Amino acid sequence: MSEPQTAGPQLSRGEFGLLILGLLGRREMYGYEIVAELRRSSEGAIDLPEGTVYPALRRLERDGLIGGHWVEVAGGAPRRRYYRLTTQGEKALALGREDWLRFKSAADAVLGS
Amino acid sequence: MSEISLPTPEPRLRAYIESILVGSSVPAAEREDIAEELYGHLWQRWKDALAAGANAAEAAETAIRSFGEADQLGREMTGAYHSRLYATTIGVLLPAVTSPPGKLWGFRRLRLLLVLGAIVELVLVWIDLIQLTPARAAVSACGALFALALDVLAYRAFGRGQRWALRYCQFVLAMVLTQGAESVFAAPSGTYTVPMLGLIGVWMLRPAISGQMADWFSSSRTIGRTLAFALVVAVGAGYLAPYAAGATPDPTQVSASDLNLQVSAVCTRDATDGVTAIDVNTRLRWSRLDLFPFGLGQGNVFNSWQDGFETGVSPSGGQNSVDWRTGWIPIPSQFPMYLISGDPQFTSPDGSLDGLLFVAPPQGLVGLDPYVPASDGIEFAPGGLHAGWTYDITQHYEWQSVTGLGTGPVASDPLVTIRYAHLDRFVVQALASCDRPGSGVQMQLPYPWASQ
Repeated sequence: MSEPQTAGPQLSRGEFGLLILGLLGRREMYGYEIVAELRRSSEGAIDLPEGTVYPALRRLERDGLIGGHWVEVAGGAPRRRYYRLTTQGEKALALGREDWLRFKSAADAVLGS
Repeated sequence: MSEISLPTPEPRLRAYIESILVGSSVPAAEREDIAEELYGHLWQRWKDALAAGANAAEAAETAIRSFGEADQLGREMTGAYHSRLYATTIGVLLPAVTSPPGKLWGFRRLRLLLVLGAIVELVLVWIDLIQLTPARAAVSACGALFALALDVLAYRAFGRGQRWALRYCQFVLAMVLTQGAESVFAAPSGTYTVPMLGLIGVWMLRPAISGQMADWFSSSRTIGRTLAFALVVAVGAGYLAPYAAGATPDPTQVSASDLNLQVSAVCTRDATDGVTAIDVNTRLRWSRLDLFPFGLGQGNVFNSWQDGFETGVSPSGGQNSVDWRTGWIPIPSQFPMYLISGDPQFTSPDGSLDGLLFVAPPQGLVGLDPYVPASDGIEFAPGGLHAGWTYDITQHYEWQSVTGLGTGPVASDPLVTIRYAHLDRFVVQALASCDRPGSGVQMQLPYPWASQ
């Protein structure tokens, strides 16, 4: 009998966006920081190619859920683009979190955890 | 402790960022911002890798490796601005704006070729809409619009250094040269044709195959086999659409099954049972009429006498029917003739068209083809008829001897033939003999009329 196939977390576009909203709900962050925080918060379980965060950020910004602004950095480092939630983004995060908890509790019930 | 001066990673990181953006389709206004943001990320990752003990070059590669595969990131970036369908098709064919090639020799010339191609396609759309029936115009115009869209796309992609656009340009050029050569070789002997298309093609040939041009396109991303195949299909569809239109059945146009043609013959006999007179009654009824039969540009009118209605009576019972209106096979001298005597009568349901078809009907020998058994034909405008109406046409034929042709026995069972030709599209024929009516059936083309 073959071993069952296991897979790491596969994030859909919507789930990835929700995680970013969740992080930005704590405080404003820039791209590199978001990637690092995502990795740290998930204890390394979510470890996507780092570049994928930028298309997601652009999409959220175009949807009006987050807003970005440039911040100059001392010491000759390139400037950073910080993002924060908009009012619409806060609502989307609240709804998304609610949906996720409902899904999680349903999944827990089915899987018997 | 003094700080050690490290080689800057900027050229390597910038080149990597460019490889992401060249494969993406992001708004030109945001391109610089995105590049700056990505560079900031890579730079910080580079610094972290340095701090972890890597050397400068290794740190740059670590930063790039952890950032992700450039092609994939380019597609995802496109997806952030466009729909998934766009991102996987147009977004690949038409990625971000690159620096213009400056004074690259022949660049404008080749783009002019694509402009000319687009103009030709526009003209073709116009001609299709004017000249073809609705469904065929739609098929052909769709093909031309498709080709036009492809031309516009290729024009823009050409300016962005996409190799597929150069290949497309070379293909169009090959077609132009082929057509130019064809016009020269197809010219009748003794005549001279100036192959304008061919000359334009020759003028554009050198830049199309120059190494300098190929160099400029060399950094282009590949578009993938699936998309390349789709492009070939699209180009083929554009070229084949006019032929497909010609073979497309157009439901807006009538077919033979829309015409109900019935014919009956009442015969008068003499003491020897020979038929001395025949009264032919034809009923015709269209269930519907054509919509824009001569193209949208002509309007929904039948502005000429395009339908043919022909009757014939063959004393031989149809044996000589193959001679119908051929006009070249003389009737044997002993052949008896039935001639029209009296005006054919046309009647319509409301009386408005009565007599219209036969305003100057032949009587006796007038209008009768001397080489054919008694027959009469007329052309008229089908637009004058109404769908759903039944029209009656009555004709009276009497046996007569014709001077110079001799006389023969009176036929005992002559054959009446009615043929109705609709435009140049189909012919319906109905046969009847004494007291045996007949219904119309479609004839195979080419019809003898067409060969005359």
